[in-house]
Amino acid sequence: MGDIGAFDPLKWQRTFDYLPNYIQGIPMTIAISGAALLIATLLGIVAGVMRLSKRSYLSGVATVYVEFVRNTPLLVQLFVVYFGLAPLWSGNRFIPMAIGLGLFAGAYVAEIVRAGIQSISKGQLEAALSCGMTGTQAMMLVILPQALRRILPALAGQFISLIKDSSLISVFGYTELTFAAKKVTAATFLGFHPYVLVAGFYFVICYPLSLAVRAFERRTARIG
Amino acid sequence: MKFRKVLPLLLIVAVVATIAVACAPKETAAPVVDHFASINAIKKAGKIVIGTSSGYFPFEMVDKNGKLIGFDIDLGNLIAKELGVKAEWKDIEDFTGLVPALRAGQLDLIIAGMTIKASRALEVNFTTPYFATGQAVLVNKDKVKGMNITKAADLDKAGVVISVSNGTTGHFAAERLFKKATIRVMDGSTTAGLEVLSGNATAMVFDLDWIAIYAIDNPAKTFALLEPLTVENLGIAVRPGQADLLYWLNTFLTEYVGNEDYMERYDYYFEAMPWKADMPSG
Repeated sequence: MGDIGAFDPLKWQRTFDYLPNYIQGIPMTIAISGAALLIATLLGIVAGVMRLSKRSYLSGVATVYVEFVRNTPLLVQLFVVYFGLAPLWSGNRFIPMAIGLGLFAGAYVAEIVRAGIQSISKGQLEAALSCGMTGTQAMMLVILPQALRRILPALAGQFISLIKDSSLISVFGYTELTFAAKKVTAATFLGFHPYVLVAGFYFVICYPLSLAVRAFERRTARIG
Repeated sequence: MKFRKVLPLLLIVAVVATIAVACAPKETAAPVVDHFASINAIKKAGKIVIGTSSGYFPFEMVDKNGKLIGFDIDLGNLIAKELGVKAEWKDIEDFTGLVPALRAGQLDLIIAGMTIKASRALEVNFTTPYFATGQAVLVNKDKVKGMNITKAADLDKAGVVISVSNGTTGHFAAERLFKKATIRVMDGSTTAGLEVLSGNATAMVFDLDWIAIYAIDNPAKTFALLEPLTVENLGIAVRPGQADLLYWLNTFLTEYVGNEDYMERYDYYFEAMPWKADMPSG
């Protein structure tokens, strides 16, 4: 049967010839993931707070959003958003792609935010209310600041997930890391080596971030 | 007695003869070379695994019922029928994934409207051509309002975005022909076409027959420049080292291309197009 040539030095040589191609993909991957994280954080805070609202239409909307996103595949969502929203920004493709990824991650951030808020003891809210604060004031000035500090490590973890998930937008020809590998496959007919290399790049980016998140988690755990 | 004197001699002769026969280099049975090793392997498996990449109509497409149909599909099924085996189709969305899959032994053949190219032939063996086509351009009408576009070269301007499908000959042709326009490389012809339809790209470079049908299907938004940019021959790709299979396929194509069966299929897919009724409405 066929040979992949996993240890063929010539094939690796051909793969590494395209190194600049991969290097150019790294900032693109980080840019789209960063933009998506920004959207996801804003959306996630709003949806997370809404989910805990006593007004059922607010919590209802947030619940539908979170459940819909969490129970459909990311790639399908990206197609819907990309081809659905792309005409709105005529020509700018970065925005619909970032929104697609951001909408997806936002649902997970919403759950993180909700858990963060619920982890703040009830006494805090009662104390704030008894000081004469309104519910909104108590949430904005007392509960959320504490909750957000507590969920920072989880948010950083979500960023790592986003970096990996962003590989899916390579289907739209966005020249990020995975797309670099696809281009190399098109030029060299190698289906194995470019992806091993690209996996290495993702690991080099994500592993230090994972370590940082872990250290961060230990620190915040101590502060409580 | 004379016989008694001769007996020892006879015995010696007999022994020597026996030993000689026993020790003589055995006439080795001629090694059985199977001149049809690859074909027999396929027959033994009872199926031929053919890789394609649907979305390239009318060569390979998926109809309303999810069934793979097309000019290439009929060709592959006919090959299987002729070999007396079942055709097992593997639809690989990413065109660039086909050659690696063939090399890795996951496929026996590639029938995917693949253009015969010397660079590809360093990885796979091509049969003789079974179809001649070329590259054409699909243009978004709104995007070129006010521009007088009559040929592909008119599109080579800064700000024009040309979408292509990664690794296709359209991709290579566009990179050669357009110097000022931006080339946007998409995954597969379907997404590259949608890029034009949705107005994200100004135009697309791809195989002529595909572009022609796409423009007919979307007359409000697109038009086609069908003056061929290149002339290309499509062939079947085989894993190298299977001379018998390659030779047989060439013989098969010599018989098939242009015969009654072929022309009937051609009329069906390229002229009358009754299959359109079975396609999901766009």
